[in-house]
Amino acid sequence: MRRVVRFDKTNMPLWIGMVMLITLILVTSLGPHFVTYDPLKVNMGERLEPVSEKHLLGTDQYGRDILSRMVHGAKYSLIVGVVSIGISTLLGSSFGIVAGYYSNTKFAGLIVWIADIAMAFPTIIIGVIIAMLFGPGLENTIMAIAVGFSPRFLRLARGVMLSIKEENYVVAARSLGMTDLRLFWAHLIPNVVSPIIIMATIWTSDAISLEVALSFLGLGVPPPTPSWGTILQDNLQFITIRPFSVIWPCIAVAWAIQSLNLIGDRFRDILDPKMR
Amino acid sequence: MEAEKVDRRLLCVKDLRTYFYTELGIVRAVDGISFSVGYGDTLGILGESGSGKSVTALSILRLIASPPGRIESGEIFFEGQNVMSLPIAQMKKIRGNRISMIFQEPIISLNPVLKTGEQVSEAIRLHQGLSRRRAWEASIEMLRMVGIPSPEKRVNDYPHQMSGGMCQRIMIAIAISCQPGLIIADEPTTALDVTIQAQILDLLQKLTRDTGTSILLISHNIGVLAEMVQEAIVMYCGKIMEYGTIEDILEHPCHPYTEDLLRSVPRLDQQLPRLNAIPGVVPSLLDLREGCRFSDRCKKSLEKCIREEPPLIELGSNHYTRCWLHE
Repeated sequence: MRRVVRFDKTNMPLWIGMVMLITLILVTSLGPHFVTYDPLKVNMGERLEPVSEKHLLGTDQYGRDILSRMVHGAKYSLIVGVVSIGISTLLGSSFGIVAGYYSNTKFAGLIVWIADIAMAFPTIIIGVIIAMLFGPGLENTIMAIAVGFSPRFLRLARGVMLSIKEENYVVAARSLGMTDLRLFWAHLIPNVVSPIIIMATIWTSDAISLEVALSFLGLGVPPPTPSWGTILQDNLQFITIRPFSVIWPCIAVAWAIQSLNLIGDRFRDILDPKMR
Repeated sequence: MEAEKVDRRLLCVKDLRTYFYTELGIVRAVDGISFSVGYGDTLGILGESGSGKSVTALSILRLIASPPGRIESGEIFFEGQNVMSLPIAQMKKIRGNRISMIFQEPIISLNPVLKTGEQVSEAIRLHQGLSRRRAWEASIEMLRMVGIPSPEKRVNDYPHQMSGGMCQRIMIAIAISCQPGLIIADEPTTALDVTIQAQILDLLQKLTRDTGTSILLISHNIGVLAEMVQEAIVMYCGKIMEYGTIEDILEHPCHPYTEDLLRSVPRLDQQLPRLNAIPGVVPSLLDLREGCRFSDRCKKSLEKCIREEPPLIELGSNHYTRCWLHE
């Protein structure tokens, strides 16, 4: 599955995406050490300051420096996005692979039916339901998003499994007399992981924007924790006088989503060995 | 076919029936086939699409998908053992090891995400228990034996980086890697262009002549069989229509189907206004009537042919035909 990745124009979107992602990761991890203001400290004397040398992105209605809140908040959005996709990849794909391999069983039929029903709910609604049942919070947001995306991974893994199960090379491999287990791990699984990795990368961006949406609604990371969604929520009421304070978190989210999409898109071309 | 002589041959198939149970009915893909292959011999199976040739091959290795297919009845003796009665674990020791198979479209018969070296090493590691490293070295040797240039480099390539002819050589390398007694070649050259066809056939012949490996060669191409086999069976709708040496089949065909097949091959030395196609279409295997299966398309059919199916009639030394004309 390793292909030579050329350092040239063809893969420019990939490089741009990776640069964007690396910048984001650096800002998220190192940024908090460099910003001087405490993101949580209320400072009513300096409310709603515009962009200045002192506050590079201004302050919000409680006098908190927006830049420092954005930098500290990045990790919540990113971690929620990545962890929830990680969980749903493992969970959804495992069930999907089993459902695809043993496709003639009642078990498989049941799983697919449950996944279809789960997919009928918009993920936001699932987030709302879980927030209502378990309350808002970081772990619950991760759980909500993971539950929301698992059916997609299940369907994906199952679909891939069903299509490769009857391919010629599988019959040819069987004719060599290997055990079913070996056939599974050496031949089927390597062909299943590529599509899953690609979609996991792309869906991570969806997960991040979902976290922002849930936090915006107050169902995700609870205030005063500075997730991008909560920053958006805080500043929304002042959009008429201070539009940029709403725009900054949007730019940040767009940056994260775009970087992941660019990478995921090129992954598709790179990991599919059939593309010459 | 004399019973005792036949039992001592390498492969002996007796009255094989493989049916597929579908929603539309039972498809009798192979409906009573018997043949044998001697040690070091090459047997050809000639027939058009749907005649049951590939199903026969898969049945020998018991690779028929079990819903919906089933090997209804029949015995298959390989090296004296009835493989139909073996537990699957034993069968897996035979596959790839004592009997191996080459498939029709080489590029898609190889795993696209594994390197060639890994795929060639696989059978060796499975059946000979070599370590990864030694199997890798052995696979480089195998690639050299099948005539792939720069095998040390090719061993790291992926199937899509190679041409069809090369991929077929890889498949042959995998097939011979454990020195099998029998190679089943299911249309090995059909997907390749003519010059490569010749090379692949030569390769197969060379490799098996040196080792005394038998080949069961399946093809719809009479020319391919004429080159390679000593005996051949002609299959139609799951039954054997004619069986004999390749010379008898080509020069003294005794079944109207065989005659029509031979006549349908276009020749460079003839000028014809139209090709000699066999009129009609192959009947659906779901809806077979009584009587000879070829009767509705046969130019020489008698009234008896429509009512009653002929048995295999012996014509002479090792030449049989399923036709009332030779009663």
